[in-house]
Amino acid sequence: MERSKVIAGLKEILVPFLGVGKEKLDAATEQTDINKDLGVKSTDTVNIVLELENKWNITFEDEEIDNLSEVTIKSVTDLVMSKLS
Amino acid sequence: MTEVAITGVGIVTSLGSDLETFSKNLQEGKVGYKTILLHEQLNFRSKIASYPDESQIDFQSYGITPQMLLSCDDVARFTLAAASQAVKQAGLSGSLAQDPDCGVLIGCGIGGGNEFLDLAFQLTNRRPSFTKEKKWKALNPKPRNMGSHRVDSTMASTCSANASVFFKNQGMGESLSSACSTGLGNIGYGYRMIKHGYQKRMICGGAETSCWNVAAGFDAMMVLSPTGSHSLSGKRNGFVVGSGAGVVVLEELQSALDRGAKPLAIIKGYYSGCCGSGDMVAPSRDGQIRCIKGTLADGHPGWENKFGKDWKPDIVKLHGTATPTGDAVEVKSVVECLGTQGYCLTAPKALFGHLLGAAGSVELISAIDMLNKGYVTPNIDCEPLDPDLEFVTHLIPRKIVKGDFKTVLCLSFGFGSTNAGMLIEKA
Repeated sequence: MERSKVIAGLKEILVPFLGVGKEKLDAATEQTDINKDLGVKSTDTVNIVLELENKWNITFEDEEIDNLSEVTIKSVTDLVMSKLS
Repeated sequence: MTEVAITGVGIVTSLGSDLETFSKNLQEGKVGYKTILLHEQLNFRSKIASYPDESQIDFQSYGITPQMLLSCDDVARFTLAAASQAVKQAGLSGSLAQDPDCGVLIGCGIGGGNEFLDLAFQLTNRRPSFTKEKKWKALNPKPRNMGSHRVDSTMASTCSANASVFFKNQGMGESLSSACSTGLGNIGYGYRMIKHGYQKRMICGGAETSCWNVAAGFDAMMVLSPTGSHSLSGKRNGFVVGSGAGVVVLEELQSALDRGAKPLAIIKGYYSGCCGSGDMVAPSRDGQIRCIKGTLADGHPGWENKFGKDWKPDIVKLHGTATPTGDAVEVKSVVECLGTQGYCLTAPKALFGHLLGAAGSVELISAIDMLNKGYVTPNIDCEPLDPDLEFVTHLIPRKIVKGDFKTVLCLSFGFGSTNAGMLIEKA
């Protein structure tokens, strides 16, 4: 799976959880913080994880979610890529 | 004594999710309930219900974002739509809705029922195929797979909580629940909060999600009608279950006038009490009489009718569920208090069914509309009239009646033998 496709899929998943306008998501880079920069509530992290699991038919351990020290496009993409490889 | 005005109303019902459509349908005597496919598939005795068309609600136009809706079951979605309409009509700018003098008090009878149901099926791997549009990991059940919004979307205060978060108010944010009198009960409590000086403005009302599991509970009790909502008729055989929301903005009258708001009605009396009969569901004439007298006395049945011994309202908006027992007992309670002349009876559940926790507030809004547009909602399906009620047939309009009506007494009763009444006057 190409990294760019994972990022695109992640951005698609993030749309209903945004606390800011979609243009900020469109302009997001890998360094963009999903909570701070995109206004996604921390309580929705688990919902995003569920969507990721469903989209790519993968499973995260609870510890892997807990260990996300910062929730950026990059950290989430890395996690998904590690499951797909 | 502080006078309390109603300055804004908002509704979500099967007869429309804006006041204009709702009013038009009320005046034309249209019926909002219809056959529900799911009730047929699940072998309900009653296959009809009164559900709003959610596709007609433009949440975006109210400023409600998809992110806000994440914590909402239908009951809170309906609440936000109705509350937004009410606040807009009242002209409450952001600061007026947000300051510590503005409270939110919106309740429901059941709670976030759809979400409860999802939760149950998720944890037991028995989610039925007809709801498979959502994605579930049914073969690997564990709590986090149900998502993170089960609490905020199902808790008893979900209506007020979501509305408070939306409006960012700093005043009270609570929910009262009193079964089918919830809607009127929350407005009545809001009225008292303003009257006694705790808040200057209140956004209050009731909402309900009558999802199929809730409807099934009533169907199991065999209190739902298989044929329709025949309020006051001899053929009545139960109520038609429904869902929706009714929210109003209450304000100190003088405060509303000072800021140039247009009052829609003035609240002149409110009462809440129980029958004391020791029965969960059976109506009690004594309890209802106390409710009517207490409302006319604005608080206590032992107090004097504040308008004079023989004063009576122009219209009595009945609870009128169309159950075989209920309607006749209620009408006789009214007659015991008001006599047999000089007012009209109307039972709007014949048009839009029984909205449970939203019933009292939606029906209060129908009463406000009757005062402001000068009509009495027709009792469209009361023929043949219950023979026990023939002696007051002249009080029961079958077709719309036009006139300059000044006052409406609204009655709302609920399981647990709870009764609420509110008297409103044309502004």
